Amino acid sequence: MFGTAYLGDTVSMHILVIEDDRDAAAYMVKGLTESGHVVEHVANGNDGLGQALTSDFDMMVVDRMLPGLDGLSIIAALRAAKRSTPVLILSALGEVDDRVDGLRAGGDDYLTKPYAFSELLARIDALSRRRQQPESPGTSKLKVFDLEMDLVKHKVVRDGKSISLQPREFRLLEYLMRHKGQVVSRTMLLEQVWDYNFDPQTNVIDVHISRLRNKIDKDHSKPLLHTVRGAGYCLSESV
Amino acid sequence: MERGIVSVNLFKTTVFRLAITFSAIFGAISVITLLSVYFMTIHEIEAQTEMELIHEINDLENVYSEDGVAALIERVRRRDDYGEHLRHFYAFADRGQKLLSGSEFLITLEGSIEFTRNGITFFTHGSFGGVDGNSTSVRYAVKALPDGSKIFVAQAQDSLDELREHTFTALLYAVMITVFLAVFVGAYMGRVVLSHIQRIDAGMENAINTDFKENLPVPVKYDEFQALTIKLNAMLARIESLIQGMRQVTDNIAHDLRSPLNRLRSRLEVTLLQQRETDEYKQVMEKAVADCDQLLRTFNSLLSIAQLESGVSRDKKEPIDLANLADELAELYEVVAEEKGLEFVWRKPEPICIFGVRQSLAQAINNLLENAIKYTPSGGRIELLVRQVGNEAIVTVNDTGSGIPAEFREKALQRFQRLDSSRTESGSGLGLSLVSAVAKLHNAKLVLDDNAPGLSVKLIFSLCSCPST
Repeated sequence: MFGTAYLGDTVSMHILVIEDDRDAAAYMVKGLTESGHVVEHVANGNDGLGQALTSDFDMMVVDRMLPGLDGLSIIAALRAAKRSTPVLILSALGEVDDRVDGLRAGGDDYLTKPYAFSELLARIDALSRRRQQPESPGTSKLKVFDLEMDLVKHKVVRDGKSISLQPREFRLLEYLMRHKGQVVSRTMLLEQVWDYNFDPQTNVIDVHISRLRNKIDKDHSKPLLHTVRGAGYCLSESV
Repeated sequence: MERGIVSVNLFKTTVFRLAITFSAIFGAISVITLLSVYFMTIHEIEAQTEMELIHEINDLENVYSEDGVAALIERVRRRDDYGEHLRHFYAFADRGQKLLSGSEFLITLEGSIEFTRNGITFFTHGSFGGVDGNSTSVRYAVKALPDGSKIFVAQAQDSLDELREHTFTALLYAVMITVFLAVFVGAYMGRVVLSHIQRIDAGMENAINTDFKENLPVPVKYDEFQALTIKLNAMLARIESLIQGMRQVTDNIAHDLRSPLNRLRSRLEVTLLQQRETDEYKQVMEKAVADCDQLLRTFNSLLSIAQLESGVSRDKKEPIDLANLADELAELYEVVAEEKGLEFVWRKPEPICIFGVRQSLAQAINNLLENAIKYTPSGGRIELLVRQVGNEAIVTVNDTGSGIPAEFREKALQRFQRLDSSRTESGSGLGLSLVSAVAKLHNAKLVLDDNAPGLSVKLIFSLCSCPST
C-alpha cells in the first residue's frame, strides 16, 4: 500500500538519511528505495554532516537527537556553508515550540515520531517539488490539466466553466494545485490550510475534500482529485 | 516529629549563632568605648595632678627664696596640716634627710621615678596607709633646694583608684550583661524560629508520608512564616496534582493501551498460524496499520494531556480572539455536521479576547465539536456559541444527543472515562479530559450541563483587554 502504489509523478531523488536508530533507519531506507529513491544512511551527526557537505543530495532526512553533532547543528552548519538542500527534521519532541525551533534552525519541515511512513513520503515529495519549482512570487496562475486558478482574481475555471469556491476551499485547492502530482496527507492539509497542529479524531478533512471534489470533478469525465488509500490525496491529471 | 536537620540543638541554630556573634561585636564595642573613656580620664587627672604638684613646689620654693628656711618650715607645717583632708601631704627635709617639718612618711617613701622636669622629680608609690586606713597609691614631687634640703609634696590618688576600680567593675558588668543577653535572647529567638521551622518540618514530613495529600497548618499571625507556609502549601498541592496525574497516566496506559495492543497482537499472531492468500495478508496488515494509528493517536492524546496538565508547555500565551477562533472551527466542522444530517448553528459575534494558547484552545473546541457530532444522531442540532457575560468569555457547545447523566458528569472529565453506552463508538475516551486540561491551563471553568435533551458544555474564561486586531 505504500510508495510504489502511489499515483502521480514521484521523481527519483538522492536522499541522505541521518538517523541513529538503525532499525528505524533500515525500514526507512527500504521504504524510500522501494518508492524509487536512492538512499544513503549515516548513523551519527559528524559523519552525517561530512557526507552532506561532500556529496550533493536532493533531500535530507535528519533526526534531531543524534550522537555527536545534533540535528539542528548539522542544519545550521549546512546552511552556513550555503547549502540549500531541503531538510526534513524527525524528532521525538513534538511541542509547538520544538517545531518552531526546528524550522527556525533552517529545517524545511518537521515530523514528530512516531510517524506514518506514508506521511514521511508525502512530506519528502512536497519538499522536493518545492525545490524543483521554487514558488516565484510573480506566479499568478496555477494549472492542472483543464483546471485553472487565478490567484489574483481569486477565480477557478475548469474546462471554461467558472467554479465558485468558499475562501477556505480556495486555499485548499491552491495548496493541492501547488503540489500537483504529489500525495499530500491529511495532517499536512490541516497544518498548511487550517494552521492546526493537532490530529482530529474524525474525518473532517475527508468531508472538506469530498465537497471540493464535488465542485471540481463533478460532470467531468476525467477526475483530478484522487484519494490515496492510507496516505492522503493527490491532485493529478494522470490516474 | 523531630527529624533530620530540624532536631538540632537550640545552641546550634543559626539564630543563636547570629545572636552570639552580634553580642560579641556589641560587647567588644562597649569595652573599647569604656576603656578609651577610662584612659582619657586617667590621663586628664594625671596631668591635673602634675600641674598642682608643680604649682605647690614652686610656691614653696618662692617662700624659701624670699623668706628663708624658717618661713618655709612654718609654711610646710601649715600646708601639711590644712592639706590633710584634701589628701595633700607636704614635707621639708634637710640635707641629711632629717625631717624639718610636715609628714614624716613622705621622706621615707621609696617610690619609682616617673620623670624629672625643671629639677622636680616625680615619683609614684604603690600604696601607703591613708588616713582612713585604706591603702591608696600616691604621687609625689621632690625638689632639691640649693642648700641640699628637699621639699616633698604628695597627693594621694584616691579618686584615680576609685575611677580605676569603677571602670573595671563597669567593664565586668558590661561583659556579663552582654553575654547574658546574647545567650538568653539568642536562645529565645532561636527557640521561636526553631519552633516555626519544626512545625514546617513536621508538616513536610507528614506531607511526604501521605503522598502530599496533607497540607501544612497555616499560622494565624501574618508574618514571613505564614507567607512561607502558604507558598509551601501551594507547592505541595502542585506536587500532589502532578503525582496524581502521573499515577492516572500509568493506570490509564495499563488500562486502555493494553487492550488495543492485545488486539493488534492477536490479529497478527492468528494470521501467522497458517498459510494464507496474499490478499488476506494484505488485508490483515492494513488493519494492523490502522490499529497502530489508533494506538498512536491515543498515545499522543495522553502525552498532550500530560503536557498540558504539567503546565510546562513552553508555548507562550497570547491574546486570542475567541470569536475568530470559533469561526474558523465552525467553518471546519459545519460541513461535517451537515454531512451527518445535523443542523449546525453558529453566528460569529464581535471579537472577544482572552489570553491563551491558540493550538490548545483550538484543539479543545475541536474536541467538543467532534464529541457533539459523534454523539448526536442525525436530524439533531449542534450549536456553537461564543459570548461575553460580564468579564467572562463563554464558549458553549450544545447538542441534542444522548447527553451525560448528571451523576456521571464529574467522571466524564477523567481520562478514558466513557459511558458504557458509548463503549462501542470509536474514540479514545480522552476528548473531554483534554478539554479539561486545556481549561486548567487557561484557568477556565469547564461545566457540563443538561441541554434537555443532549449535552451542553461550557468553557468559561476570564477576559483580557486585547489590543484591537
